[in-house]
Amino acid sequence: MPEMKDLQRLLELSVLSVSQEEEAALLLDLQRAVRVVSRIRDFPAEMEAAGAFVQTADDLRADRAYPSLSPEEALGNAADTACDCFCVPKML
Amino acid sequence: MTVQPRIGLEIHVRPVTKTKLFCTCEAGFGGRPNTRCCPRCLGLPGSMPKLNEQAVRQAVKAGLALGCEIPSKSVFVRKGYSYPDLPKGYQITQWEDPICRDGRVELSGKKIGIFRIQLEEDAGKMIHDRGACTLVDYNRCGLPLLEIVTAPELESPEQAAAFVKELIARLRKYGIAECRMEQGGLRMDVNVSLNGGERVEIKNINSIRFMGKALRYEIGRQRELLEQGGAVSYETRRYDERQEITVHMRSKEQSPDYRFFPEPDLPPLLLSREDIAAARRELDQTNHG
Amino acid sequence: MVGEELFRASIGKLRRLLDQREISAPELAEYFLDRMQRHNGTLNCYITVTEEQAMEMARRAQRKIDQGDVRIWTGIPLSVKDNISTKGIKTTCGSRMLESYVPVYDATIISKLRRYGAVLLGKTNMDPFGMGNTCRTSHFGPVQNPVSSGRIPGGSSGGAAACVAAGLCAGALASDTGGSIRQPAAFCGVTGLKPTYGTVPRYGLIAFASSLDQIGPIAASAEDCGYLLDAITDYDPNDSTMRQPNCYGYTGKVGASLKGIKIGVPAVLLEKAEPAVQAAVLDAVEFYKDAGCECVPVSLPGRSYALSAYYIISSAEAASNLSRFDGIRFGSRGEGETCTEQMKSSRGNGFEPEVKRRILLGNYVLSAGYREEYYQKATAARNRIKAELENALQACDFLLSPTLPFTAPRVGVLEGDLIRRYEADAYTVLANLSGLPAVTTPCGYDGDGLPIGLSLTGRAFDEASILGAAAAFEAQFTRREAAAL
Repeated sequence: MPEMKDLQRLLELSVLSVSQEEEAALLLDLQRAVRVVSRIRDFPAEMEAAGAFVQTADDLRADRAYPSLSPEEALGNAADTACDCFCVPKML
Repeated sequence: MTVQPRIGLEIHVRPVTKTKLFCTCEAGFGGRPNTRCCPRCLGLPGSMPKLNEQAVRQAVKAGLALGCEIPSKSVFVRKGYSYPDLPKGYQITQWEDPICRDGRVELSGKKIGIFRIQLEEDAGKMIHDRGACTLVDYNRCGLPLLEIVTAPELESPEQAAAFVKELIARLRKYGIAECRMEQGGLRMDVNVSLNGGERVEIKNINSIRFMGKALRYEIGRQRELLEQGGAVSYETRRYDERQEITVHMRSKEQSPDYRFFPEPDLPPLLLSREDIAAARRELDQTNHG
Repeated sequence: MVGEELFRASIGKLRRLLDQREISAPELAEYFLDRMQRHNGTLNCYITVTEEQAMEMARRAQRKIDQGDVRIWTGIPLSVKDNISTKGIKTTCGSRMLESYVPVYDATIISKLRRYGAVLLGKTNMDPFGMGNTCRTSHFGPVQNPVSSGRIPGGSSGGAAACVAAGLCAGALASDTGGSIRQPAAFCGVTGLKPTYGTVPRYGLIAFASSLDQIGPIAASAEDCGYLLDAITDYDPNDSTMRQPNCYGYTGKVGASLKGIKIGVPAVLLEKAEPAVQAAVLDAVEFYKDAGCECVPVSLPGRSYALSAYYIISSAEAASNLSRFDGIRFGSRGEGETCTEQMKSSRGNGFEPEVKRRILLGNYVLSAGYREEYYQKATAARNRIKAELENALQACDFLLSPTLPFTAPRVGVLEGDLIRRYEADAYTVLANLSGLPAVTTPCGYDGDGLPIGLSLTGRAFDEASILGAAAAFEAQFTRREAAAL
């Protein structure tokens, strides 16, 4: 069963910052969810055959260029842009 | 104290293609930022990858040129980590089932093993020196990369340099990659251990000269550690070009958890004997020596 | 046909009215837009109503009709779930994260619909990013079930199902990952289809779980669902997971004889259902027997792992698919001194609680030390369940079961109970895990007048058979109209 330190590790992996109250609620919910999915641990560990679907060389894309988005389209939904680029807080 | 270094290389080269690995944007270099982007390489919601056949062919040719086996089935995976230059929050790469494996390159009578060659996508570029914010340009994002991983069988910085030169020569000769280091066309991570001990990884070395300096410094650093009765533990370091030293980046415990799993948007790739034969024919015909 | 009754007309009927010039495409669009204006305030099915674009598309459609360049769906007013990318039209996934996001490209199905003159009325409301089965958690407010305001419409495609049930569109396009089309269709008393995985292009569908998601139709009848499926299947070179060259004629078995058809009935799914649901589904079994079908028992022992396998796989894929939402290129942006802080704030503030829960669970089952026990076993269990269903479908033409073991719960009952909410998916996830097609159609009403869904699950790529069999049932079943009308 996950504990608070596991939740905090997962919050890092998930790139999420939440309030302390939310942390407590999320831990309870995570424990409930883990209870639901833990049934799978009883499944016998033998390797099942993989799916039949594959892609062959015929399914691949020809190496042909098509027009890209204009920079206006590419940047259009961004909250912060400068010099034709996306902005993020200064990284060291 | 005599030391026996074991050196292994992870070399990223950009194979020659007209378009990116999973989308139809032009595979260029330089130019105005964010002008060679599309929903796929920008990781826009709803976009899906479509594999470039030329990138696959170049990967197979690289494998043949380096004496590899080409298994009939290879699998793409998602490698998850968070960084602004990685728009999807994961890189599509390969892991347990790469496109080529178990090759060897003969170097002055010694055989250097090639563990694997995998096909993966490049990330964007971050520009740090423009004032109050860091800028991100995704023109490079989604370009194909071949990651060539050698066995740790190189025994000296000189041998490592010779190996890389031989690799570059072959890749250029067969038109597989141009290896232009100033364009990011070749990047290296270098692993070195002494006397069968733990290895240290030095990341992001982009010239043969720096590789030599980094290796000589690191071998010296590890030898000194051993001579003082210490032990080398696994860590990731980076090479500081100005001070010409290697610097600690992170330890094993701090290694990211990449949460690899098979890319659900790309079925496993099945190559036929004819596909491989066609690549071999191209190899035999090309000679850019 | 009197104007007031147009919302009861099937797509086939509307096609005839349009082609016989009894009504024009712009008149038809205006008719639905007017109904939407009157009812959407209460029901909240639509997040975005695209009035101007709808009229423009209707005028284009009319030109096509005048030229005789017509498909079934030319001029037919449809709604689209708000996780399907529409160029130039806000696409929110029901989440604060994308409340201002405007795609720069159309999903493949939208391109195809546009090309042949469909009319898009607006984007329907949904649980955020498809994660939920109540349609009460959208950033844009809850959806009301037109059948009964005190009951949930179901989710995540609750807006689409309510839209169809209330006659606010002639048909709806939505998505199904673990039951998101079939559950709300069942709760709202309409017909919904999840096609075989790989039938409908996913390019442009904002992904929840890539190996489970599929776009599908919700409409007033199985035949209409068949027409809508014709409208959206396409060979799409952009989608590497397409598994069948597009085929048409999904309505080909509507009206066909049912004699000699073998129907598999997994008894356990019936046994665990509420009495009213059991009774209605058993009545449906009798109908099929009278029509000449043979019923065979089916056992699905792997079923007991289905729910856990589904939540593991879907959460893992979702955690990965949603890692692109960092506020840099699109999406709500948070605050932070450093880039990491800003990304964490963007996501912490932009994602709704259930979205965060699934991301955390997904990263849990994929993280080092847990992947073998959870994710890998879930994959193995999924393959087993798929094999069992495919095996069962060798001995019969399709499987018959209740869509859910209960009718629409009261508002508030599921919303606060995670385990009960997750367990509510137990029946519907089988079709997603196996990739098989499944249709739901109403087969009865319980003591409170709530509709009961009958589910038919077919062989891969055999939507025509289950749509035909569902249509046969619908032809003799009297449906009740939603009270809200």
